[in-house]
Amino acid sequence: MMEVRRTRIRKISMVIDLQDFLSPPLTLDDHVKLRGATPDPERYRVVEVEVLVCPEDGGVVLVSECAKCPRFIRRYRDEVHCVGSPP
Amino acid sequence: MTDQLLEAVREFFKQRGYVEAPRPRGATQAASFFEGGGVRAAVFTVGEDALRGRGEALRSILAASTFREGVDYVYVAVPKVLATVIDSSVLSEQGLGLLVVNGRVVEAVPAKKRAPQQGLAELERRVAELEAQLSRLAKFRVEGLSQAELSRLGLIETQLAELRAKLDSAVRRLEASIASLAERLTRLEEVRERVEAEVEAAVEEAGRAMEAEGLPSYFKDNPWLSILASRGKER
Repeated sequence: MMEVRRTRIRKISMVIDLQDFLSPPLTLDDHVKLRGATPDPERYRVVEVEVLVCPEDGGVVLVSECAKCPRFIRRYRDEVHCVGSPP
Repeated sequence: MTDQLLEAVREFFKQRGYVEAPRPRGATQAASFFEGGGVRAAVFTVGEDALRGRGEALRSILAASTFREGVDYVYVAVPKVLATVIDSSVLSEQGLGLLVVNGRVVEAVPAKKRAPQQGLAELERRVAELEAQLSRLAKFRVEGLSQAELSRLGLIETQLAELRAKLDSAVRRLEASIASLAERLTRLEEVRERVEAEVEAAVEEAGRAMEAEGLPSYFKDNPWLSILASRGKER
């Protein structure tokens, strides 16, 4: 019986300033707190990024990067399921 | 890429004792079919092209979800990169299986066995079977009886008709007799009432005569006197 590791996916809504590429990308919540308004679509783009902490090496990776890992089994709701040793 | 994916899926099912089955009439081109051990499985493949247009993956998954033509299991086969995007819980809730393909195939979500629905083709087949049975029965009805049996059957039918006619006639006669008897009974009832009235009048008259002249000799110890007197009171 293989041990299945369940790792939670974190979804981050990131706001990118199209007019000032040097301004740091903020999360949507932070942007609203700082600017006091939702991002203006003329100037900002909101990008949703899905990341998780890889249980193998502890690094933060995009969920799509799991496709490169031989341990990956499936994505299930807001979790990634993988096995300890490649199947 | 889709060819490689399909080849891996074929190998996966082959290892499990399945062979590729012909595509049922009306089934989508995107599906492959496998059968083995009395079980049929359909596999809908979604290539990496689906990453470029979101509709492509959705279209295949919806087609898989609604497909029920005579298969026990339905799978969706996707490349590994797509499996990181697709939430497999949605497939699981629909009873669909998920095959993740990356050179080899991993059954990430096992498919649930589904009760095959009777499609149009299945209904057509059953209707044809019933028609054939009906035709055989009709043939037996005509050919199964000999000429002698058929003539006997005709004779029995004739006798039955005669008996029915006789029975109807007897019933009519009985009804007429009953009506006549009822009429006679009514007339007798009227006569009886008239006679009783006359007797009562005679008794009263005799009583009055006795009071005037004393009892005549034939009234002495006559039991009819009390009976006739009581009848008059009852009425």
